[in-house]
Amino acid sequence: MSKYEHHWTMIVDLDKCTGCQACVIACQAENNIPVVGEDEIRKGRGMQWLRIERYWEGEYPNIRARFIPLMCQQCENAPCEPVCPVFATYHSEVDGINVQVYNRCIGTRYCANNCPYIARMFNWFDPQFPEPLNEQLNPDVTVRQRGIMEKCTFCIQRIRRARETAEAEGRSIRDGEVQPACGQACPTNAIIFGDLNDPNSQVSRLAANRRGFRLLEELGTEPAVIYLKGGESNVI
Amino acid sequence: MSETRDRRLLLWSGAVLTIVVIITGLALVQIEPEDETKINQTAVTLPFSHEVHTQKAEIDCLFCHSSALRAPQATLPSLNKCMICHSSITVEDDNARQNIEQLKQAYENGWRVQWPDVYRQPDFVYFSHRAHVNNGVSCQKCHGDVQNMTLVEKVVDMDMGFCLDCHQEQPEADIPRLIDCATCHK
Repeated sequence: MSKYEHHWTMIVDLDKCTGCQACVIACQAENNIPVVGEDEIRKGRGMQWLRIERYWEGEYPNIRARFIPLMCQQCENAPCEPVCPVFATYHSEVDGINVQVYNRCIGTRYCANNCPYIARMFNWFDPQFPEPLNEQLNPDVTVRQRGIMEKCTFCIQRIRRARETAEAEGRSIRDGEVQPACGQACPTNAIIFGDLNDPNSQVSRLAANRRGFRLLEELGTEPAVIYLKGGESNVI
Repeated sequence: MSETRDRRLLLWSGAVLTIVVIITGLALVQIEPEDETKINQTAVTLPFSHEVHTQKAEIDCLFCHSSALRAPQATLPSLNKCMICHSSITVEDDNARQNIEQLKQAYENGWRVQWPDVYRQPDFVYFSHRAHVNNGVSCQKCHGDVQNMTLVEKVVDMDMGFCLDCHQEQPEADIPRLIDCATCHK
């Protein structure tokens, strides 16, 4: 049991991930992330809260593709948090996740430089949503302006809504009630989301899996994203 | 000799190409179709008195702003809802009868009513009516004595200080959520 009211955790089963990028698109749509275009991506200014890292294993013809969906790891000891001079990023005591407050951010980019996972994205320009794309903006998420740092929020707007519904109905949040956009879009259910504080939740059971590991564990960041190691079944 | 001819040829073809591009460009601009996605709806304003509806007719706030109990937005009623009563109600007062005629006209023609925004939270604020109304916060606590207003006036500046004035009276157990920026800032 952790000190948080909920300890939101994500399990990514690498055995199930096919690298289809549906999660990437879902994230982009849910969180009002602008498409910056090829030129900006070439300059390393791509905007993706969630990306698929692809690795090739072996030599042709015995070659195999490996995929790792990579998003903000919502570290318990987040390296991004102590370096912010204006406290624009902090650890939520309620949800146990790493929150970015856009209104406070002054764009020093220290946090992004200190993030070992390259999970933070900076708005180098004002975002463009040419018609009719502006009609599909999610009203639950702010459109970030130029000079603001942003990153995966574990779809905090969905957590907020689920909590409100649960409260109105006088119960606690059920397991599986909160599903981030990436997990919802995943065709193979490789992304499972839930509360680690609940011993009966799906994530609690999967977290005990012997295949489980965290990215760059040796840094001591204690991520809230647990990957399940891909085995021989991931041959493509 | 041949070099000058080549250069002249290049210049001529360049000039011709530029003219062609300009002409096609102009033609494209002219035949650009009108935006069909825009719905041609007449927007009208209607006279409405909160005082009459809440005091005289004794209608509850939630009858018209019905989503306040179950959604973040309290919502404004559609003209269908107005017509639930106004299709049968008659009034003595000439002025009021005229107002109701305006409503009926708007309803029958399918006009869109443009209610003015009195309170509007900025983009980065998440406010939920459901969370507040279900926890016993009355409408008047934030919106003032709407039942005595003909036209709704802005009685408070709904900034963060205004929210915190109430929220600081919350029990200690709720403090962690209160100091979590993400509770209200999205």
